[in-house]
Amino acid sequence: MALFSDAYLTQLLDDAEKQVSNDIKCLFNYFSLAVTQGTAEYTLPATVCGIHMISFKGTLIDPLTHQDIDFSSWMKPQNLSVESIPKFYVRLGYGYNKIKFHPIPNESISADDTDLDSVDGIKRRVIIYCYKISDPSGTIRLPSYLRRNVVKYIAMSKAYMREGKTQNLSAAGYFAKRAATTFELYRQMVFKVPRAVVLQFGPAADRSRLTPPRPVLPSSGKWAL
Amino acid sequence: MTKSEIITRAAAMLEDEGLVHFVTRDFTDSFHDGYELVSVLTGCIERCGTFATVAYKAFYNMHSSIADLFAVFAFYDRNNDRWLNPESLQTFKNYSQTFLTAQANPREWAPIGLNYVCFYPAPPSIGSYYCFYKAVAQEIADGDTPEIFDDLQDVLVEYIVADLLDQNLEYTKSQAHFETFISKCIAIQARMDKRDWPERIMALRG
Repeated sequence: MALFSDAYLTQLLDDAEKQVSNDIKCLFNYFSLAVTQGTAEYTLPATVCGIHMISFKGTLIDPLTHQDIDFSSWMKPQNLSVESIPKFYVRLGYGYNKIKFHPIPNESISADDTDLDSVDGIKRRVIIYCYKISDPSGTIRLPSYLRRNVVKYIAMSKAYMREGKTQNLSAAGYFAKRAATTFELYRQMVFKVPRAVVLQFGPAADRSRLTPPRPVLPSSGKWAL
Repeated sequence: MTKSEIITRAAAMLEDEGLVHFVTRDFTDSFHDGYELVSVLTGCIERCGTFATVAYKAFYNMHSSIADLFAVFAFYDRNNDRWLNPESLQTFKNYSQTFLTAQANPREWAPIGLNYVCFYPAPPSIGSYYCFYKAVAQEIADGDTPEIFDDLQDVLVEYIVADLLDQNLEYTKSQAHFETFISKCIAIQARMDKRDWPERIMALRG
């Protein structure tokens, strides 16, 4: 007889996958947002866990913090009802998954995710570029190698913690430690690889003196591989 | 060491040379899991492939073009014979509020997460590139050698032993082997990071 039911393990695995994707923020994605003339506040899908940038008909709009708001003429009471092309968005203070545009959009724009890659499509839509939480029943998911290691360890740790005959605290502690170690190493790689690329692989202090290393193409034939 | 030699060593450490307690499948599954994990935690496997851009498209999900992709680290433009400069997306944002609609032969690219890249400016026509990337390990044949530094290949022995002890509910023993596995992964990571330095120091002296 199995220690845990499939349904229970699936629930734990799904929860763990969402937790890891939220903590690491490695699932980049973009989608269009339907905007209505005269409406400033919009609800984002619950799967958005970090906004990279927002493009309003091809022009980036800037994020505002509350500190910026204090100094911004846009947020003075007499300006709150102004309608125009949005220049800023505020993320904090309106709910965890809400954004507010300033000024208020002066036109309605529909959502259509089919042409977000073309210049014409970008100029027609409001596009949110963001990190998403994994959707275990959909297409945006963590890579399989991560699911089979980090996610599995977290799920096993929680499964063994459950009260009852299957409780095994030493096993739970073992899997928790294994999950934490693997997660931390993986998190470092996710941040290190793109940053190393941008910093051209060398320590910052030496970049001015050294030629950035580049992969060397084979010499047989011009650029042949 | 070949895959079968690594498995033989792991079986010897488990005192299961005749594969009595564990079957061959247990060892090969653990080997593959371990190899995959090492490749991801250390970035030790590097590959080169070709990649085509689409006209007017700036963002690409590289994972849908390259099956074993872990992270891209360089692009070479085959049409214009030049490397693309790596930059961050923030740099593109600083160039212009309308960088998303700029069109020309790409000069720069930015990694976003592990799967996506953004080209700047967006290519006006179909482009062809060499793409250099860190890869996730795929299954290998018994006689093949994993792409890990020779003296650190026993990292896989540690993983197999830890994984099989864990399946046997021997958590304390497994933990000890897993810690050795992690310390060897860190050693591989460090060696990967320092790989370029000897040549570069010689070049400075020359």
